[in-house]
Amino acid sequence: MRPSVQEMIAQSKGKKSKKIIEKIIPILLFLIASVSVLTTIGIVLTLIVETFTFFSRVSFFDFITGTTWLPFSNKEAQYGILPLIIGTLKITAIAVSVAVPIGIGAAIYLSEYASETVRRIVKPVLEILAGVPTIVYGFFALTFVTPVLQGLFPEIKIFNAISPGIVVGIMIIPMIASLSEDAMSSVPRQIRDGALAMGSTKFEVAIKVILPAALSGIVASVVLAVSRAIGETMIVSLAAGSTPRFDGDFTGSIQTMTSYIVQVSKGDAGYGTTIYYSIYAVGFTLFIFTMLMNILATYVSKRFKEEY
Amino acid sequence: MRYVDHDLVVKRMGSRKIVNFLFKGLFMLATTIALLALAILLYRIITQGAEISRGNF
Repeated sequence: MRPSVQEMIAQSKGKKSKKIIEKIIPILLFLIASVSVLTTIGIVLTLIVETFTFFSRVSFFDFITGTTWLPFSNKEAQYGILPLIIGTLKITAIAVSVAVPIGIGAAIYLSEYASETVRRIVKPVLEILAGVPTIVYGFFALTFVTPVLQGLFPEIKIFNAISPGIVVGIMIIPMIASLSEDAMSSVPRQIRDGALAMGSTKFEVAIKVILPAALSGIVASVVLAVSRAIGETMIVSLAAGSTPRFDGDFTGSIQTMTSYIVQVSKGDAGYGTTIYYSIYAVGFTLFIFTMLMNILATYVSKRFKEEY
Repeated sequence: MRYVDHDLVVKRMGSRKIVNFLFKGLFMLATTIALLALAILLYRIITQGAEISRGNF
């Protein structure tokens, strides 16, 4: 005769080894989970400590309001971060203007117009763009996009903000397209069918029904893509140049926060110098930017979330 | 009482269909541009890679 469930539980309770495993496994899993949290805390602490060292040598006010970034100057080094922020924003602005219309347009097409077969083929193909290494994108910007742009507009210099901006935009298209398409596809079929049954065209359904319903997912995807564009390093390091400028010119060489960090990390400054510590201050500023964008993405995602 | 003006609906149907058609083309164009970017990128990688592997730098 087979033992009852209660008898089996009673038997298993009696086994000491099982009891120990039951206690160890949650602790082990907790330790594994805390590795990522501790790593993040370690990174942030390092950033904060080294940034404080930088601000013990350079005025915080000059850092956040200064319009000249000249750390390698022979006379007097200047650490005004605004030119690096402007450079980063130039790249981000161009990238967003390329990626948002194309990404959301592709998402609407795949979600509302394309057949199941087309969607099944095109979506993974588009996602290949996200898997291309950024160094390849950097060379693509420098050796293909820049010469094409120079052919169209001769005033554009070899290092400029437009070419890397466009390529960063291409890089973040799959992020916007794929996440937005997921958000649109998750809108219940009944809502879509209801609108179509009322005589709406597919375009009206997409704009007046699906987009508002999937707004939280779409905005979150855009904010995450912007966050990625702000933090992009290799493309701008290769194709944007290294001239920190506080102006509105997009045709000449610029420098972003990330490309400055790369420049110094490659060995342009010795350990313990002010220039060395400046990369932590710039990194901390970058961290604040991306953290704010991620907080915004979480807020928007919760604020506009539709429950069905 | 007429809730739906049939004539008006029929009259507007044409323009609504045109708008739908135009935006379908626009959304399809967006997808095509993204795919084209990928195609150009892959083409460049393959052709340049092939040249370098043949020793033509």
